[in-house]
Amino acid sequence: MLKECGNCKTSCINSTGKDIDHQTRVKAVLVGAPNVGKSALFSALTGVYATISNYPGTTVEIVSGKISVAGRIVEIIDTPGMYSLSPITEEERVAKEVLFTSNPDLVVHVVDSKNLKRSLPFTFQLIEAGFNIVLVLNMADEAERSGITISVPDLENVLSIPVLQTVATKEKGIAELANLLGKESSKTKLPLKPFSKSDLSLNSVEHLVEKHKVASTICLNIVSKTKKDGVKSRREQIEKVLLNSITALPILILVMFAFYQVVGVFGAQVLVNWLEVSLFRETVNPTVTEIVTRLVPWVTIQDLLISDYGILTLGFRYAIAIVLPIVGCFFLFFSLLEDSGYLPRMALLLDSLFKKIGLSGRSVIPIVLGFGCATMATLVTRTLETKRERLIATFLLALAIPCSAQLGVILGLLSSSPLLVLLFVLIIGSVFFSAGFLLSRLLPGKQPLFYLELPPLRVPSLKNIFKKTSLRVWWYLKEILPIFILASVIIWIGQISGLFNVIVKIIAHPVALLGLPKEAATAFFFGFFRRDFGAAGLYDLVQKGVISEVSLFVASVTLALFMPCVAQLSMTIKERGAKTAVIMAAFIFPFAFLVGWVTHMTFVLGSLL
Amino acid sequence: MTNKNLTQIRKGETVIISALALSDDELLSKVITLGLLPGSTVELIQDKPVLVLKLDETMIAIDKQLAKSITVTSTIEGHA
Repeated sequence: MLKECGNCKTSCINSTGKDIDHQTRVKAVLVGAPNVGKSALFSALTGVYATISNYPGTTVEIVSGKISVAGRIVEIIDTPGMYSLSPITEEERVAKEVLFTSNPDLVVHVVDSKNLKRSLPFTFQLIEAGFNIVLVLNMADEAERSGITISVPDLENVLSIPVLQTVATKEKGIAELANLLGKESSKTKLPLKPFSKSDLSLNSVEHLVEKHKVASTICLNIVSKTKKDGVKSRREQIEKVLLNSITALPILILVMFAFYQVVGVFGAQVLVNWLEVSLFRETVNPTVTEIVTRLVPWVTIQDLLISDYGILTLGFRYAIAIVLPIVGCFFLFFSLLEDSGYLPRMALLLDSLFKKIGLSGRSVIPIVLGFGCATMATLVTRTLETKRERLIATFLLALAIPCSAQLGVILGLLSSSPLLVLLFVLIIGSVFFSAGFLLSRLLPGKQPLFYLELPPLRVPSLKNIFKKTSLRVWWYLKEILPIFILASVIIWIGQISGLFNVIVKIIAHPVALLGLPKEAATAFFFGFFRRDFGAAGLYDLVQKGVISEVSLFVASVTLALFMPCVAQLSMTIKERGAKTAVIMAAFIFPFAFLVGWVTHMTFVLGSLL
Repeated sequence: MTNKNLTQIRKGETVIISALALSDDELLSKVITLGLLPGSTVELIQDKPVLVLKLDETMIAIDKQLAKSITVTSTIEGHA
């Protein structure tokens, strides 16, 4: 019965509505708090897969899909999670903006059935603002398991809006919801009430408390609970082990060790070795080189495709054989952390540590994500509450968080000497903490407070994990492949014109100060395009045997502190503004060289003594 | 019935929130939106390194500083 419209499956970022319409009759916006299954509902409705997560902050981009119900086209827009119409975080602001600018015929308020009482005040706000509301009580199965029963007809009577029960992950109640959306006519729309921060009458604390009281009264009559504690008590026991002051830290360390094993050992060493050496060096590259040499007689074009810096032999090799396996492993592990519900628990365990650098436990999520991809992580800083926290987190992501591709390559290269690995972690770690500490002292503003809703611990669904991992890897490839190819082209142009040599010569000066061979300048030059690209360049230097262990170490430290990549820089400009981004860059590059130089000098002095 | 703040109760105790001593209206709305408002019953699950509260079916983590500004009264259950 549900049919997708082929041409606009995942369109519309920054939806303003009108421009993407073909023949849309009904437009519905999904809203709701984080972690209520909104994205699951969206994909169940539209067949379009949006990231479903067990923590707030994954739907930072607006996704829309279209379905046709009974000959009518319904456009459905998913929004980032929000708790109320008074936005707290940047992502909530985005959600609110979509809600008010997309001019929806219908707003579907999705709530967690277990938490109806707490969710109703938002429903009231939406009704007051003049939207046409459908209330969806999702996760009906979890509520049932907890012994909660909600009388839907009574709730419909009290609220005078349609109410539906669904289990989005099992596609229960979805057909009914789609039918309801299809029936909606766009004529009945009322003009919206502007709902700004200054509008005290609707937004004041008194009104909020009042709404919560009304919600409590309604729930008293409509929600009934019977004690059913079997499954829950086991969950609570696991919870206690995870958060207990004796067992929490060892478990956290164990999780990080597992993380290292999956990303640093399996991804960066086993998979990379296999793909890089066996697949590319021995099979793909010789074959491609032979084919290109036979088909393309012009040497200049051959250089573009198959030289040391060729699109095919270098661009694709870096992307597929070095970056992809590491990033893929990272996203796989990250998805597991997310869906199990461990990530928010990590946030609370690390809160007091993060307070020292002007952040709260909430920032743990973007920072950890930064170890995968700093670009994605910079986008996710939107989930932080104050401008100050967003600024500190963005800066630390740009300076001291090496992304997985880079970290994987570096750890792989240094793996023969555990002492150097330890030293690397120590240097980058101290830069991270001292930079954060200083920044939190220098920047005006209050220390953040920490509060976070903890989603229930869940056994992750394998299907969801793989879908999510592949979605993220896909996003990553879409971002990086063009840059890798562009970099190859730029280097090719640079080589033909001689410009490349000039730039490398310029960079060779600071590089020489670090005691590095001049070939390293090339890797550093790549590093300006992407940090991982630079690290991959180092990988090649080691393969060629032109770099000593100490030099490799110095180069690794310097590269790790560089701004991550062009994509991350442009994301920083987008999220924090050009001025901030330029100031950050102006500090970070010289500072990275400085730390590299100090490291080099320490080794030099050490060897003299 | 004595007034305490959330950092002064024992782990496992169930209490009713009686007042929120927060001057910042924005922060106050955030806390209320989470469901922490006068009249709500919460159970203290963990007190270290931050507090973990159970409110109906939800777990909420809050830091000590925020917990200090939440005044609570013990329920009969908690005294027993």
